[in-house]
Amino acid sequence: MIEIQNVTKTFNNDVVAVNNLSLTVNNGEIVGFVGPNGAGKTTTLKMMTGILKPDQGSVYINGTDIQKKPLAAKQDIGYIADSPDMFLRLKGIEFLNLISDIYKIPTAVRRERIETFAKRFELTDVLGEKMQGYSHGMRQKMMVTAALVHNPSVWILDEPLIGLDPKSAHNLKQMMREHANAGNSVLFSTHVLEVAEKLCDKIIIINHGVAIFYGTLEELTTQYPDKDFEEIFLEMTKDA
Amino acid sequence: MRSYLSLTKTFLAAVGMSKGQDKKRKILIICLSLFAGLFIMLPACFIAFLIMGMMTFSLMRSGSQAMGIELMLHIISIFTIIFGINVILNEFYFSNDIQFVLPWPVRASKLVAAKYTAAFFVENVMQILLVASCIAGFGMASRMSGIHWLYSLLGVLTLPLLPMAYCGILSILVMGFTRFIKNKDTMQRFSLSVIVLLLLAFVLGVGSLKELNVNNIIEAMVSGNFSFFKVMDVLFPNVHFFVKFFNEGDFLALLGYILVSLGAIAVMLALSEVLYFKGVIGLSSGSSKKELEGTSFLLAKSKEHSQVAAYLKKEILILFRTPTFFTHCILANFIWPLFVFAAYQLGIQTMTVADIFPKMRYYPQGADPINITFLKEAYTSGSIRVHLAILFGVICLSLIVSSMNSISSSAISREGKHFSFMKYIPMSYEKQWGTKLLVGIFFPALSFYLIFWPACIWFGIPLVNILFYTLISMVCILLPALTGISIDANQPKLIWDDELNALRENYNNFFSMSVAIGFAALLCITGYCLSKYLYVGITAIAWILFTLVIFLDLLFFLLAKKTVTKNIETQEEA
Repeated sequence: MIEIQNVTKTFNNDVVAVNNLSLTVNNGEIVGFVGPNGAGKTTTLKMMTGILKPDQGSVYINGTDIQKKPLAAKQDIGYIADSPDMFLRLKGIEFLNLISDIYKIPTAVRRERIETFAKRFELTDVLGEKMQGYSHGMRQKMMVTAALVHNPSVWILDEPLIGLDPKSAHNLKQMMREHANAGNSVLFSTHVLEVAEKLCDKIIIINHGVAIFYGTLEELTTQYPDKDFEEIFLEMTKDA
Repeated sequence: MRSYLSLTKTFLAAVGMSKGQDKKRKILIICLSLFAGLFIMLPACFIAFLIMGMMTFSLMRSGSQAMGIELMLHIISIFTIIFGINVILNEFYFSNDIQFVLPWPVRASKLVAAKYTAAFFVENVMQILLVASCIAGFGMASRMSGIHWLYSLLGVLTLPLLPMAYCGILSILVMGFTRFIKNKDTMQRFSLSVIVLLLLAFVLGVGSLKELNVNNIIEAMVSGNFSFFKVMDVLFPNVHFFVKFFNEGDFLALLGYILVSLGAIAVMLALSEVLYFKGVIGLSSGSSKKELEGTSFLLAKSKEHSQVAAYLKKEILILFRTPTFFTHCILANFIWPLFVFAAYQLGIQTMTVADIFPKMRYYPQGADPINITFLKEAYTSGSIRVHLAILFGVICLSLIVSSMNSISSSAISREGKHFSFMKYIPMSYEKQWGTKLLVGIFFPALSFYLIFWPACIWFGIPLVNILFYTLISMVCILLPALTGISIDANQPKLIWDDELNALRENYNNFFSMSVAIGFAALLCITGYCLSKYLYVGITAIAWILFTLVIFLDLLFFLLAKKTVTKNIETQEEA
């Protein structure tokens, strides 16, 4: 479960990136985070993972305040950053072992999980190669594997489907659904409205750092009858 | 012209120093800059000034004073090429902006001209200062008149144009005609091998110069038998023209200087029209060998380790596998023993100062013959001065060796775009920077003791003293590592085009080195004053200095604990 209470973040003392944002992602939910470029999506996700410190407000991961007990909160998070170009000099298996050691995963468990993910994302042939030789899509699959290898209950994913081939994207969406159905929470940002529409239990629309809508797609369409999600989104964010 | 200026401005902005985020950080950077100026730039310039002045005095007797300044400017030109070649190659061919710039409708020569200008401004600050110091030394010694000082300004600002153009020509030719260097890593490994070979050749060459002394060099220069001069005059004709112009006011020489410098740039630009795109298209940033190990084999090797062990492995693998990091962080630790070896080859252990500088005007007459054999005997007989000199040597060397590499002073900057990794993993910041610090201590310590222990045995130092020197050098090695990581955490360069920029563009290594030199000066002056004015014994001085270093270590550890963690926590850009 993720709870954000009255979170505000300002850059350089004058650019308000996120303004008094409050939201809750309950266990068993997939929540899609949509908004125009520069709306505050990545900033919010970074505050949830401890990368950025909010100026005001609190973030709780499974009830743990990430500012007060950062290590405990971070242990529960699986995070995919917006760029997969990370530690490219390491081999895939070295990177996964690094992450496994940092999250303190026992030998037998990590072997089993790495094998499962590698098969699911067709990475088995490249685990022994340095990641700088990977394509963008393969790097993204490696980031997904690394984010999930410690079996976190909270998934925070920044544009996780970018660069994935259709099969891997399908796999990841399926995993997100399975994860939520198992009573965990998934929050992900996307610019692909169809994905949000099909996959999410709830949607957050953010604009100028303010959540202008948070609820189910049904609730949204009730407010704007005769319009599809794309039209509603464009209407709500026309001043972006 | 407009597009050239815009491109130059863009490339210059990309290689600029990252800006401090708050007032405190900015003040610290200003203080560090002053420190660097005081302990590195000023001494280096002063030494250049002094050598030039002394050489000019000696040469004035035979009326060939200008030969000294020519020699120094030739040497500076050689170093401009050595340091510039990697910078130019990176700027021309391997910076990240290439992929965005290539599709633009810009001529190759314009692109190369803008990149050359950006590299020229970034690279040549130190060279310009050294040229100015040499000219000042020459001018003071030869009592140069006012107008000639004015003439010399031209060279101070433009002398590196030719060697930098040579770097450009060489890069364009190598990249245009070789297929195997289509990869950044291969290129860096290739250039590293060339530099190591040159260095080895230098060391072996120096070993054969048994007759090395300034007097011989001066005689050879005056008699016109100095072959180095003949070669250099062909390679860098601009130096000869420039010296002739500012020393004699010969405007024909000025014309020659301008023509030679601009000619080299024109050749570089003409070559770029033919070869630049051919060389730059199809470059890749890295390579990866296909491993034959199967998944089951790889998984069988996957075993649980502690967080620190895993993080340590990651740091070391990245340092070893990234050619630029390897050169500046690992190899840099093992360069100084080569110079010790060269000195040994020269037979320095049997030389005296008078052997090296036989006709120096200010050689202190009647002083002890300072050579290694004498020092060895004096040490064994318990000479306080020699014991003090060895103690100062150990302190200075361990401090400087530890600050020469960029491991600690780029510990945070190396993370670059994935700096956020440090912040979202469940591993405390203290553990993370502590592990980085460990790497920053291990490699300089390894290189230091590799030479130091055998040297102690050869010198006949008793075991108990070796143990003490080991102890004091250990705490000395820790000090620059602590200050280096503190400086880097305060002002990390997280947005960089290639690894070289991460190490060079915020001058953190330079700052760290200047702080280490400052500490070395402080400790030596303290020791000297205790001995000279308070008549404190050598054992007491050794323990006082040891305690002082421990105190400094503790102070900087506490400071690092507070500031590094806080700076990582508050650092937001990546």
